[in-house]
Amino acid sequence: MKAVAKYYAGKIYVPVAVRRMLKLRDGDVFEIEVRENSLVLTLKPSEEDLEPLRLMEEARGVGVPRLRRRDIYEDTR
Amino acid sequence: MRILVNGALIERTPHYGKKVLIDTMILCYAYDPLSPAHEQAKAVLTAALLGYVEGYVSYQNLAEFYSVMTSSRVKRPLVPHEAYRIVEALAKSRRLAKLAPANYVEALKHAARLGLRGGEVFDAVLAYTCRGVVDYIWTENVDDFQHYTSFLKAENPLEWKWEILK
Repeated sequence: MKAVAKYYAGKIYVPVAVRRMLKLRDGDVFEIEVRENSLVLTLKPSEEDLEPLRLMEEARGVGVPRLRRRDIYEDTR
Repeated sequence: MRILVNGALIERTPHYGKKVLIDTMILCYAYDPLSPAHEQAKAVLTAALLGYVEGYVSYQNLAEFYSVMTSSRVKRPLVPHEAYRIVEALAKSRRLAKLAPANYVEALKHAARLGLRGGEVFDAVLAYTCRGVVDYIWTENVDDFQHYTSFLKAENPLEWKWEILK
């Protein structure tokens, strides 16, 4: 996706379509890289975004069997 | 962190940017290192959590995840607060959009027309929750969604080779 953004008084205004696509919130942090005439902004993941990944790394073995969807609702005690 | 699917960067595959609901058992395998499907499922969920695909889960999936992971059907069940910690983290992630069950009456009407019984009705509810929002469901149980192909394509991402490059 490409978009045009305007610079004014130290701020770059991000178009609505980009904000929606990236689900930006106030306070989000970007890494800025300057390449000649280009500015590359990379959204840094927030703590909330990193937590599910961290929990996957820390997960302990549970031993889930292969279940069909209908089995999820059988014998759930 | 980069992700490869069948040897190609995911950005260069048709999966990039897809609107995909991640089904319950893939979530379970992703949080179970003992599962033979763990590494694959972990990469699938990571792709969604990093925004390589537009990932969704239904609150129904989160409840099913909690149910499976705390039940006696697994070897070493999570205690409720462990399961909730994962559910809460998934619920708070912005990269993973949440869907509330919707179109209940239509789903039940469809289920009755097909003669579905027991737990199969929840597949109908999940499929109708997806309708008009996501295009694909990534599930190990592709056959369970054969009745909904007019609005939902089911794919099994565990059949593809996934790699995470750190």
